[in-house]
Amino acid sequence: MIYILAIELIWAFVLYFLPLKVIYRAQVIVSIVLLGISFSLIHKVIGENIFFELHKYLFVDSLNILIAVPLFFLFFTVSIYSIGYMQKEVLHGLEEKKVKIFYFWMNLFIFCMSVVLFSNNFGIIWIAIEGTTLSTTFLIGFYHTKDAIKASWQYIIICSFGIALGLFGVITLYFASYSLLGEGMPSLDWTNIINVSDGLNPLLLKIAFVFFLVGFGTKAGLAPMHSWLPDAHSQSPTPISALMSGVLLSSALYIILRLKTIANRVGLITFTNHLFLFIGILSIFIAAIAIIRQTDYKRLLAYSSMEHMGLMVFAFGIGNRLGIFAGLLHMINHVFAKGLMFSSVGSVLVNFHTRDIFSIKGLYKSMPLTAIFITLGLLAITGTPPFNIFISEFFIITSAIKEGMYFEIIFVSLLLVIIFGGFLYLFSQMLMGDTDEVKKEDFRMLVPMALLILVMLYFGVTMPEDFKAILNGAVNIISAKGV
Amino acid sequence: MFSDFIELIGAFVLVLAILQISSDRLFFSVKVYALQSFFVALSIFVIGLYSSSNDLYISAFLTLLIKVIIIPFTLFEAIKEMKIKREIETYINITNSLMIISSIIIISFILTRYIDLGGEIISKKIFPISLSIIFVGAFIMVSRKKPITQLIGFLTLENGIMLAATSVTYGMPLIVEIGIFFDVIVGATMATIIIHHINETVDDIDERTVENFEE
Amino acid sequence: MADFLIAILQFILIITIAPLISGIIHKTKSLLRGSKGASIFQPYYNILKLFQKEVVLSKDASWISIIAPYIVAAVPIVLAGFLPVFNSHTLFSFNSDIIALVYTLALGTFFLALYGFDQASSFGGLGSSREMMVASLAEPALMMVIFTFALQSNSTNISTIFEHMHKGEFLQFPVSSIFALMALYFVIIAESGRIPIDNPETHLELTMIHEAMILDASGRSLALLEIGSFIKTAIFLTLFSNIFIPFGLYEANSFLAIFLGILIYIIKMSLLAVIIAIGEMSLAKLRYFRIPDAMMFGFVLSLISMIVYRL
Repeated sequence: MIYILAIELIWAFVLYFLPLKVIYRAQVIVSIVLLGISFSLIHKVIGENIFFELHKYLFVDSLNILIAVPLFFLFFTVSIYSIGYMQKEVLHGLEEKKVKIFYFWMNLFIFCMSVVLFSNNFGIIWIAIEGTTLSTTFLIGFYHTKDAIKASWQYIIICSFGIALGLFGVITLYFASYSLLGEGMPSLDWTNIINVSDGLNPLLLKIAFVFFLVGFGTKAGLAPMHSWLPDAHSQSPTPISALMSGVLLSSALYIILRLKTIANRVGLITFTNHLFLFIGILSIFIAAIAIIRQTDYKRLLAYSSMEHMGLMVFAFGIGNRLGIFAGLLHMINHVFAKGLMFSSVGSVLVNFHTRDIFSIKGLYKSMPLTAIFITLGLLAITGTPPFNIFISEFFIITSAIKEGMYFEIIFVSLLLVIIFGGFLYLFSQMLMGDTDEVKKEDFRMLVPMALLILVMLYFGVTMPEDFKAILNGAVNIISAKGV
Repeated sequence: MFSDFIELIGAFVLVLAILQISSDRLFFSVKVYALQSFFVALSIFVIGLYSSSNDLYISAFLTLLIKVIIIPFTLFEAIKEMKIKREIETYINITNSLMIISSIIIISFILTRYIDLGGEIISKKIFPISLSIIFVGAFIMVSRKKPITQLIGFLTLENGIMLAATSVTYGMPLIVEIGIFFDVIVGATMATIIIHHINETVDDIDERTVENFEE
Repeated sequence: MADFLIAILQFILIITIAPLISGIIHKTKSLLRGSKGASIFQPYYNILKLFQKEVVLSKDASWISIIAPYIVAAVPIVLAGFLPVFNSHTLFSFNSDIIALVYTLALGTFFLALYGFDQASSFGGLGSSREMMVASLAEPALMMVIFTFALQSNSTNISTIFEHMHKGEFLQFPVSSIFALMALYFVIIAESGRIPIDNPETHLELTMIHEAMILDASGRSLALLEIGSFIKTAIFLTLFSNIFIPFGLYEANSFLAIFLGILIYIIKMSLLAVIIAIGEMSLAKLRYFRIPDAMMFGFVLSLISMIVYRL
């Protein structure tokens, strides 16, 4: 893991001195290397193994590798995609210097994300999550328009606020653990805390959990503090939207999951599950309402991310093994689906330079290939077979029915149907219709989409053994006791 | 006696947070923030003296440097340059804010009443005090109209967290604390830059533009 | 018998020292401004002078205007008998309840406000309404402070509370006490109409509160009203000094103890007067619409004091 972090950090600074054409290509190579390293880690942690590095500051287990590999895969597709995207933007009058700034912050962002995922220490995780906020702020304000600057202001202030609450959660966790583990860094290490979790003070952990949920839930785009999400996603350059929506939200949720695991072990399982269920349903509800009256397709996708995060939280809150399994599966599937969706609508954006759904018509004629990808992504993200999201949503519903949550699941399904209808209606406005314009489609923007759609189809019809083992390992980590 | 003293400093930090709510001038707000940070630094320093731990001296020094000098100075410059109206505009008037805040303080004291922090703690009351400061900061953030006052609210909140981190026990791990400082200073600088940009693109930050943030 | 004499002595002491506080505040402010200023005994001369003058009443004034000054002056004078100064024996020690003291003081305020209305001039009404607002806003903070001390000493009897404080109870809850102190200071400033709540030195129609009510008073009425407000301030300062500067309340009945008690009391009061004067010099008067905020701030302080003590 140390290599991943080192490569990212060094590359982020080195690229500043390279010419743009080199950056384009080298970025792809770097991301392939990162993907390769993360793949190589998989075999070390199959089952319930934990693999440490750097004096136990970094670690890999099934849970974080499960999120890390999709992250680097998405980063790889985004790296290819951003060549086409940025070249079009440069043609449209963007300064070359700003492209470099874009690459710099993007790599720093991925670096912080990797630290979040691989760090063993809640303190460092907190710092890294704050780092993701800071590194994406400038990316959201990238186009320097009035709306973009407002969005970045909103993003930095709401997220800093949320993250500060998260910090208080971390401190409370420290209060709970330091009487058992002594003062100093080890008291915040996940592997240490989970070993002594039986002796932690339940009341303190309750407070810590609430602060984690609200604080990191802000970054995860969960209901009460989601208001930064649509603006930030719609204003930032599309590659960043894809990365934020796909992995930033999942990593924030990953931290909450870690704490939920600890809290579950001190007997707070009903408390945490109920909170998860409530916040999950609330997020889906708010997202559904926002989706059906949306006119901006990037905002639409942002709300869709919120809906899927809500669905994941709902799945984790169900409380049985299948629920957790489905939630994790959904988390991964969502990464690919959202990557595809943002990539495809991003191509529309660079060609039409408008985010208004109703002013774009006849995409099948003007951009036929992209339109096909949009259609496929649309079907995938709303949970239509044979794509992977269908599988995980199906599992979520099954596990909820198993627990006898009929009322909840009927409500959630109803909301999902509403969202499905909203998506079909709004995107058909863009796809159908007649137009004379024909836009040139860049293959570098199409290849990532094709890759993503293949992955989604693959995971939709089969589940490889290794993947299953990792997934089961992750479920074991979360539900080690009591579930 | 020692724990009383820390408790007293903590209480002063809380009072300054409340004074922050009742202030209606930008410069005054910044001054109150600087004074508040000074008390936080003092608290860290006194705990450092008592437990003779070098980590805490570093923390105290960083607090003094960053929060008492650098950030207030940056904010002063920003306010001067921006030529905005120097009155603070609120969504909820100050008297009502104070009433809400007093109930929030009571609630946070009641919530934490039965917590057994275990281990070697300095003062039990610092925990609810810092919890209330956090809520006060959050309240400032949601009840103020101008971006810069929202930033001050965030910084107040952060002071509360810092107080909790250092003064309930004998400090968090040093790396974490330094990380926090780093994030705060970068965050505050970035926020100031953005406020500048808002000012450039929006001409003046009047009520309507700020209300648009809330959509 | 000795107790009774001591009680009488305390009673007389409060009443006689009351105008002196105002004199010291004026003198200090003058000195700080760089001018020489009137003698600290000037308030006594003023009152004597006013007593020799004729009362002029507005033609619209009713009987209220005739009796109000007497009530305004009488209420604090009677209450001075409740208050231990340097010894816990007071004139009305059988019933010197602190809540009774505070709310009886409100009777004086009420008649003062009535007096303001009764003059049928526009300023009087304005002053009265403002005064009532400030008084009602100061009330919760004052009560909260009093409850804090009543809880600490398990009694609402003033003498018991003071004795309790003098036994070093002040040090037992330092945080709570310091907040109570700040809150009580706010209340005193508000109740005695000083900067930043009210400016007793101007007759500017926009800002005045207390002065507006007594604008039409003259002669003996004015003297009585002034005495009332002096003694009221003195009562509050005595409360303040005996709770927060707990020296000089002696159980002993010896002459030396009494003498020392009186001396310390006078020093404490002068000190407080100087502090108030310095406070006034360094603050600007608040806008009228900011007064509720300031009073609310005082209330939050007293609330924190209570919370830190109880929770």
